[in-house]
Amino acid sequence: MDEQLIIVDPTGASSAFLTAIETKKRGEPVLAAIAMDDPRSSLAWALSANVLNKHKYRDDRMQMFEEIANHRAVIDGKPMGQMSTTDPRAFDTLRDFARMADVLVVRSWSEATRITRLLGFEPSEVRRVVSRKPLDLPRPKSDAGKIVLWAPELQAPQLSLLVYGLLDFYLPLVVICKSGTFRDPEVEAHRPQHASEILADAAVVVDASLSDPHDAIELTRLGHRVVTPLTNGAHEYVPGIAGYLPWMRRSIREGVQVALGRPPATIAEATQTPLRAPNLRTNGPLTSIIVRTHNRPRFLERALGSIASQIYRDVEAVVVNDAGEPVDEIVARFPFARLVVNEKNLGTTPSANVGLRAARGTYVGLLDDDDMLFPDHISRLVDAMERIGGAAANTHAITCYLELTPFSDYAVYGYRVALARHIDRSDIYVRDPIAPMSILMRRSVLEGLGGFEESVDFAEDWELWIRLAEHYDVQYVPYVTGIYSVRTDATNTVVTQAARFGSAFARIVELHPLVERPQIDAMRQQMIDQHRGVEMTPRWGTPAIRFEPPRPLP
Amino acid sequence: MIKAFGERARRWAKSAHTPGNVIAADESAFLDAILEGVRRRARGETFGLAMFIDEDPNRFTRTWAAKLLSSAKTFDERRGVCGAIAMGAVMVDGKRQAELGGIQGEAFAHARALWCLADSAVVVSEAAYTRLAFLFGRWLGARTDVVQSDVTVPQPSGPAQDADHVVIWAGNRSADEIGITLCALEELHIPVYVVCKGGRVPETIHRATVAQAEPLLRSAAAIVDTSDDQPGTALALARFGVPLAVARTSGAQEFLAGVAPYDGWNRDSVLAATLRALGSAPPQGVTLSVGSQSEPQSKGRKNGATVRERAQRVSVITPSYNRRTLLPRALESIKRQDYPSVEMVLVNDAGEDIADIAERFGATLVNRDANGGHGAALNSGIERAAGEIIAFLDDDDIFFPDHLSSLVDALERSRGKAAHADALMGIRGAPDELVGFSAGAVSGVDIEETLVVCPFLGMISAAIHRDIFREIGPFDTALSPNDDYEMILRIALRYDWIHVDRVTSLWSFGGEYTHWLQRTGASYAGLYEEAYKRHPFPDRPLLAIRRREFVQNIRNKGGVVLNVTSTRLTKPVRLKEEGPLGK
Repeated sequence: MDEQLIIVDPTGASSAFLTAIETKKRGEPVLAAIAMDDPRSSLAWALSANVLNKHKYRDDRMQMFEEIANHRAVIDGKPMGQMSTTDPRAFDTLRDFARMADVLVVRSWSEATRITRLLGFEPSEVRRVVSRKPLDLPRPKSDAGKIVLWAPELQAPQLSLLVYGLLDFYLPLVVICKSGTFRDPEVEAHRPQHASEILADAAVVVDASLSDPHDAIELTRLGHRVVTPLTNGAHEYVPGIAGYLPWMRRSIREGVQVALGRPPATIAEATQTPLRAPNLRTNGPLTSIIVRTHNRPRFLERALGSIASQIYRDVEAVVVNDAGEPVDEIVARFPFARLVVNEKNLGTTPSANVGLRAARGTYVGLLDDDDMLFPDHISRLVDAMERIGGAAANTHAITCYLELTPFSDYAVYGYRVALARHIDRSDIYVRDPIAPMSILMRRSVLEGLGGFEESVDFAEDWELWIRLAEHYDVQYVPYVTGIYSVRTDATNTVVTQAARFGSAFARIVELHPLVERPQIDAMRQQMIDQHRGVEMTPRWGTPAIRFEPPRPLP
Repeated sequence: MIKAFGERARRWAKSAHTPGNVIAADESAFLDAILEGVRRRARGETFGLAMFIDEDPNRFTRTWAAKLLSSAKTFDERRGVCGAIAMGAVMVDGKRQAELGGIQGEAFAHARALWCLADSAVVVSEAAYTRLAFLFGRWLGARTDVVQSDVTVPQPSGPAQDADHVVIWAGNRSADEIGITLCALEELHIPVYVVCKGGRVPETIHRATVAQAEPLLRSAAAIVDTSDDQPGTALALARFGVPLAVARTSGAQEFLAGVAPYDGWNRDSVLAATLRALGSAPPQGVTLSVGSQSEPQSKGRKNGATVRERAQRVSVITPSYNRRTLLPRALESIKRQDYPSVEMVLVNDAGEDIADIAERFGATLVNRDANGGHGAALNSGIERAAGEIIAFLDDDDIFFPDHLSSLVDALERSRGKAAHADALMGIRGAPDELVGFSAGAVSGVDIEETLVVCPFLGMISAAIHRDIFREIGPFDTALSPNDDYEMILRIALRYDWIHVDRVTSLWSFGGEYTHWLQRTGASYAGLYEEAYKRHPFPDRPLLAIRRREFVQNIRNKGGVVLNVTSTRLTKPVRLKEEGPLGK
């Protein structure tokens, strides 16, 4: 399988997100690696540079390092606990990017735990790999007697804490870093291109990679005694490697004291997780997608195009034109699509039932004309249901925020993966967790439920999910498989009709009384009161990924 | 061979077949495990440690979830409780959930002592090992992954059948331990069975025993494994070829691709993983080596003592004063060293005659004319010592057999002049009985810290090149019995102390002992002040403040409160006259 890995750090999440969308649109799996250092370590290192600038005396510095180690330092009146090297908004962006990933690629299990905990998400699949690229560096000489701080990717100021941890040794300290010098305290510093001569003299190498075990492994392979941050997972490949807690000066020192007395470590045979080919289902029972459209031919073409690109081949589209301008020509271009035209405008809910009556597939789903599917959508959902004869299943969707440009065209100003949850039979009464196109269900199930409830003219999909959940389990397929559009130029159905949400929701409550469940009922009443007569804040919030200026419509 | 302490450890040991010496212990029995560990180390054996400490939220769930859920009457109330637990928002008796969950105080002190005694960790997953190593701030030198299939899980008797229900597997555990998981799946339409032993089960969930489980597992649409501390159960359940949801903390995802992981304390996450498992492909084994293990290794000592070409001579100085009962035990432990070239130098600090004991052990005896205290006795010993390296053992302490070889190896490898290892502190009640243990000082020498306070338990932990004493002079007798501290500091100011991060000796503490607290006498305040005068650093005002505060603290508390926590054994251990620790 042709693998293309998307590697992201907190600053590059937005553009990576776009790459991921493009990858998904091609039907290829998104393999994502997230470079995110342990936050406590990176904050400690960032603050340490500050310590040297602000405090002239050794004792003051030592005290500050101690306070940093205990996470109690106060800088300019601000306690450390309130600081972060990562912009909190970047976490949002990264989380959304991470959710786009079909496979999260990590260099160690430690990294997998750290990333999933920090971002608070569950990856669809995790794969552990570390590259085997050897370092072109010498082995240590038998009379090697220096401590070498190995930080080829870092700049001098970031290394203050490390340098202070290593300063009191009688063995001379040499730093290899990307740039910068050490004047106070004065320490010999060299650039990575001169590393060869220096490493031959290393009695011990202090590795400064907070997240990447690669260098620690390769230096060990060369026969060096390595002390490595406990955060980078090198111990999973080198049992018995000496380690240090990167935020603690004393621990850095102790790591060297221990390593000096130990024999060089050996590499363990590490298992690399094989990448499982996604093995997507290409055919099976006929699946019908109901596409409701009304005077948006340009979007319709895009929606149908996304059905045409499905990996799953046994698909029909039922296009319901709700008495809008003719779309015959467009529909004719897609051989799997059939057109049903309403003689007069019926509205969205009755149109959905029109589509359902015309559908012939075993499975049926919705795709509104302004939304689109990624090629794996039907394949993943049908596969899950076929395995156990399931009634319904759901995936995730990205919300795409569009605005009208002065040239009467649409532009994307942001994205968010907000509609990404499983369906909880109780929670569904108070929260609509998914986009309309994210569910696929058996047609017999939908017909048995009586189709869409026409007395609900808004959020009718949600009302259906409630009935669905009351009778069936909805299987959960946690992959992003579609784009749901939100337009903020007053043409979006949902936004223009947002004021109607209150009454529609009241109708849903009326249809589903919960006398036995006072807690949930109270929450619903509260929601109705809040929304009565007030314009609703869109349920999908604001974009986590925002572009300035907006980009052309994909 | 595995020796297991505590119920959960025994349960694990039942299905683990690991070669080598292994001690398995859970939180209920750390102290007994320490005693066993000390005995083994004193016999010269190393051991791997399989330690069971739950992740904080799991500990909380195990202890409190059942109690909290049992007070909730309706399903919605149970959901509410689960929601609060998932958010970490529960308060019990004014204590926050995070405080209730963490391992603290005595239990933590025991766990750390045990961790430091072990040579290798026998770990069930990288996740578990990483968690423990961070908890104690120390990576063990070597480790063995032992992954075993849980034997309580039945073998499939045939191929998978039509799937029409979900099975929650709790094995022989009570349903009360998995209340959150049960609450998460209470509302499913598909039938749910729970395999458990006793406990309360919601009306909508069917109960089954381990004996009834096999056909249920074989026809399951998904299995939810509730083991949150080891992947063995998931590995056994995977044989049924049925999609699997697993607790993330079990580490099963490291061995099985395609499982749906969840956090056991988060109801939402359990439900999501179960709905995900329904209809996903069955898991696949990632490692081919599942069930295979390697011998626990010791910390790379193989190249050291045993294949030494020219062993430097080590002189062990043992000062003694009127402790005829304990002395032979100390000397016996020197005799048992696996290091080939050892000289015993016994210094009688003008106490009752010990010539017979010296003769019995072949020790060089130095008789002092007048009692001069600890430092003076050490100085007399060093004068007479013939070895190139000097080590120290007080008459009431013992070395483990690898003490000297570990230190000499470290000195040779580093070409250092001074090294120290870690020591376990044994607390003496009567002169010949141990009443408790504590992880003593187990970190390297940090000069900043050493400028104020003694960084490890004293000279018992150290091995020093003889020529250092020629250069920097003898122990300062005016500072006895705190002369160790000044010597360690004096060396630290001129040489790098090399650290052997394993426990190689048992240091007996006979000072004033109360629960949680060990103190030296109040005289140490003055002794520290004297030591500071020898190394004044007048240009460092902040250091002066730290020192003043430290001494004031000794005065306030009536002694140096050693920075350790410890505990009493349920039964004191008699120290036999012969042999390091009896038996």
